Amino acid sequence: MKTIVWMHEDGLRPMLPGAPAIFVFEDKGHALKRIVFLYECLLELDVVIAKGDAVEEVRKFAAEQGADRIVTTFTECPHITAQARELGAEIVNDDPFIAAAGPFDLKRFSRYWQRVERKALEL
Amino acid sequence: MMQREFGSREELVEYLKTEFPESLAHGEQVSETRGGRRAAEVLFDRVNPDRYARSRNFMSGAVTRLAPYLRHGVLTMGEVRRKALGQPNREKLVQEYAWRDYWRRVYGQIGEGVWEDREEPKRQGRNAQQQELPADVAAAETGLACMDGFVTELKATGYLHNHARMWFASYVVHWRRVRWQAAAKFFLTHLLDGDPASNNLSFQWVASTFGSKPYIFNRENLEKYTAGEYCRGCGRNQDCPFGKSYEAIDQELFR
Repeated sequence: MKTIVWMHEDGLRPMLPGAPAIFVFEDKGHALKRIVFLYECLLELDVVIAKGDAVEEVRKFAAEQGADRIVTTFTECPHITAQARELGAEIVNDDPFIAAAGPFDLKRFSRYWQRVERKALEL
Repeated sequence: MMQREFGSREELVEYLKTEFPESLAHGEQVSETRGGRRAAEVLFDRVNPDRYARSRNFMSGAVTRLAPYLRHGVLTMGEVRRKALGQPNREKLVQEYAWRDYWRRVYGQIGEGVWEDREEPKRQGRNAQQQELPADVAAAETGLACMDGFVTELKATGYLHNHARMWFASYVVHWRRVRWQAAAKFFLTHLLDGDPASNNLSFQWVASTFGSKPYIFNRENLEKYTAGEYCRGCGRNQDCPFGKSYEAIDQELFR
């Protein structure tokens, strides 16, 4: 089983050492300074940089690599999550803020903080 | 596949201008803040939870500047939290990280709903709300040294101190009667850490569509936390819209 990594803009960090990785720029209305910032992040990583439709480009890349498994990092972004599902990608939440199981009452921060405070302040 | 080898940052920037011509509609400025883990670690090593807790509301305070790296997962929320734990007076910093995590969790729950009012605004102003960000605000030509300074800094650096973000949001939403979405979009375009979660939901907090009351400020507050930097040379020193008590401002904006 060969694996590739789809790196998206909410997870610009190494994921599976040795697995080929791809990042795809989509038109998100970013100003030039944001694109420069993202690009500098990518240049420090071992990743192929592409432009276009992410789902299409990742599929193409997987085929070129002969991969049958796509892995990506967890994000709350609905657009990226929908794309990950479309790709059938495995979503990995590798280092969250706290490893606490929800669901949480998110009506107000104070309620959330009350629930997680102890865990957040402990190693 | 896009290019990976560049002789200099200038060369990279020129290449990106050619590859992303549509981005130039928002200006050609490039931030001094560098992307990448190396740059993030320099800031990460300097994080001091105690100094942060005592000075973070001041423009010159010991804020972390980690937001663009957290926003894009260059650093993880887990590692920044763990690092804070070993240090004195860690609660405030960890709680601020928790705010980021909280906004993201809400985002995960409501998705594009971050663009819609979460709740009814608690206090209605007198005038109809404007749909677009007024041209003088976007062009840093209000004559208010603080607000114009914030816009200029935002466009040049992709960064604004959190307190400045709040003052600006409050000014635009409450004094200028602009729909928060217009200002939120402006921020998202220019902030290196632009995130529909923390950005939009913080705007909603200011607007009181995700919180129990509208956020307002006055000149005394702004002057204190900016050490008078803006007020000193402000051309509108004599007709400062913020130069009143909170009660008077509340009366003016919401009655």
